[in-house]
Amino acid sequence: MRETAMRDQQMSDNRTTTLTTSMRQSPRSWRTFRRELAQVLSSLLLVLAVGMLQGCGDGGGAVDSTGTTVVTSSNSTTLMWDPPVNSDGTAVSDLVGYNAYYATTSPITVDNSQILAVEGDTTSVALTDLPVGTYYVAVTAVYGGGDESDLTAEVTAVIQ
Amino acid sequence: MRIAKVFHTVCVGLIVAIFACAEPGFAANYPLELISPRAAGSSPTTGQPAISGNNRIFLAYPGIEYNIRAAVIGGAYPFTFSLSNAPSGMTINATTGEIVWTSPPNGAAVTPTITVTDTEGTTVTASWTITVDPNRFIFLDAVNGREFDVANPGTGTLANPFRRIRDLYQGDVYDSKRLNAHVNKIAYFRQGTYYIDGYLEDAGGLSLGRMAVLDSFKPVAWLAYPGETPTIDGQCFSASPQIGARPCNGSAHITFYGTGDNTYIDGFRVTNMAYHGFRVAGLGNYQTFRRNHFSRLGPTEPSVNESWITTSSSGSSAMGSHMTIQDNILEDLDRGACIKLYSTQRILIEDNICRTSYDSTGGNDTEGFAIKGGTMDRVTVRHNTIYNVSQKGIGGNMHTLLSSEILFNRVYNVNNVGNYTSPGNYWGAGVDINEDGYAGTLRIYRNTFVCRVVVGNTDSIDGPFYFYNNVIINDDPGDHLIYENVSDMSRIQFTNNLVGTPSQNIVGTNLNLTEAYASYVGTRGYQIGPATTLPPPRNLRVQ
Repeated sequence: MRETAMRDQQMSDNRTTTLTTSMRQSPRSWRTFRRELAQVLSSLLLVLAVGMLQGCGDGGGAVDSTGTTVVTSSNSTTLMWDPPVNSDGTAVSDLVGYNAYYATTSPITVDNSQILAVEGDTTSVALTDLPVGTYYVAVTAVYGGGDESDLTAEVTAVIQ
Repeated sequence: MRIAKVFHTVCVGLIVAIFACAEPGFAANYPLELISPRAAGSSPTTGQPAISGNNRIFLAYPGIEYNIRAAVIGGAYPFTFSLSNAPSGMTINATTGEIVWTSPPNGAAVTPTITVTDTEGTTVTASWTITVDPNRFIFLDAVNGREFDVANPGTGTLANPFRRIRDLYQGDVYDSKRLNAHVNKIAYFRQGTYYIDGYLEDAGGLSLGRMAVLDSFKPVAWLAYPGETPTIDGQCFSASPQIGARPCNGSAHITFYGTGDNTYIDGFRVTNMAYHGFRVAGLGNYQTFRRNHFSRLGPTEPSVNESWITTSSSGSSAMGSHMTIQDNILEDLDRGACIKLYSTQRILIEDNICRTSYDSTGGNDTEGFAIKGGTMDRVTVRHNTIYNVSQKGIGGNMHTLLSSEILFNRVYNVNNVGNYTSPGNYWGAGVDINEDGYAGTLRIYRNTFVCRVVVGNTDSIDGPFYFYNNVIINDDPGDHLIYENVSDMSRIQFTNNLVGTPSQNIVGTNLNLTEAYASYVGTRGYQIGPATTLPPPRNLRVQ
């Protein structure tokens, strides 16, 4: 354990050294470096943004969500999601709809939540007439015979 | 940590032990009976009505997939299925009993044999003959078909299909109701929307009326063309004059009567109906509703037995037999029940989803499966999922309900789960065994109920009612059953149930037992084996 930590520290130091060296190059190289740095940072931000929107799933059975807290003053909020896919990325079969769960306590369970059933291919639902408060929401896929997937990770909505 | 684990184990042991008497096991309560398929003219049990040779199971169209599902009651669930002497291209799903024959050759007549085996090793076999005959079928195509009474009319063949239900009906006036039109044929519906535009009668209230389909005059086997999902739309609206020059005051429904024998509705989307989706004669035999998606019923009126599927009471002790309701989604009902039954026996309700049954008026006139009475016997409610029901999940004022089974079902999210307030308040019961009349033996086992369970209006001539090996989660006290007007408690046998409160985290998503209670998988609740993981939705977001 100790040895690994030391190796990590060395790698970090090496990266710092490389960066410092680059900054000491000629003005033209410096501009190039800044442009490259800007591109890298831009790409990183883009990746982060996409990651936040798409979650960290591998596209197959992963539970992903933004976990974002959304504040709304309209006594309603809209949930949106993408359909499930198999582990190989192909579309699932026998999907008959979704259940949207919402509760005022976390974590959501089947015991403490309200459910809105969502039909067929519809991938959004509005929760309306919500009293002021904090709501935890999650969604399951419903398959033939009524079998449900696991819940997605919870997302929080605050009604003010 | 260790102390907590020991404490937890002791608690779990207590929960079960407190209510444990003699282990009843899962032996068959009734003989294993194969309702369908079976030979024409035979019945599962001596003395019971025989299946007619006009039933859908005996006919196939050349080159079009033949698809049926076995229907079994009694025995020890779950079952396994196999086929012998099957023609080339015919297979059976060993778990569900679904039989598929991908491309029946013209002129063939085949006689496969099905074997069903229960968990005690009991087997039942039956052989049935399927004739491949294009002359026993008609076709409707809402997009490319032609009406029967226009120049160059449709003839109802695959190449020249009809366009509307009115064509199948051969008209939309009173005289067409009893006009012999394609009787005993099977109707395939191609993709498209079909309005209820035959003759409508009994309009009133919120209903445009009902279209009566008499089995002695019209086709009563309606099938979706394989791979397509035709819609039956009960709506009447001015932009679409399909209904004709009738008062456009609401929606309609379809009723199959005469005897209603052999009614077979498979693969439709059914929407915008009033009072009912389909109403069939309780005296009818071997009726099937399978793979349909019912959505948007009502708002309707109370006391009309509003429901997606209902049987009409015979008004006597006579009963129809062997109805099967499998693999349907029944949802979005405003004041009604997914299924409401009278006067039928040996009925199988299996693998259906019933959800979102509510009352927009704020009342409590909603139910999931309402098993009423008018004399009923051997009702089997098996492996269904019922949730989002504002009054009762499974129940009903059971007037003369005889021996029946409720097993391996999931019921949850019924209102007022933890809010039992006073005697007489039955609302919000996931299961309500309310014997308003004489009741025979009811066996309620291996279900998972996250809801209130009520037994009411029961005396010494009723039952006994056996509750065993269920999982029951609610905030009610004691054994988590509510007893209302029960004068003889000995008629209620409550054994080997795993009960608790929501805070104990006994079940999770899908109502599967949580890891702490996994040792009860296979002996308590609906779960047959370890939970399987199904892919969840992705990228949940809110705005």
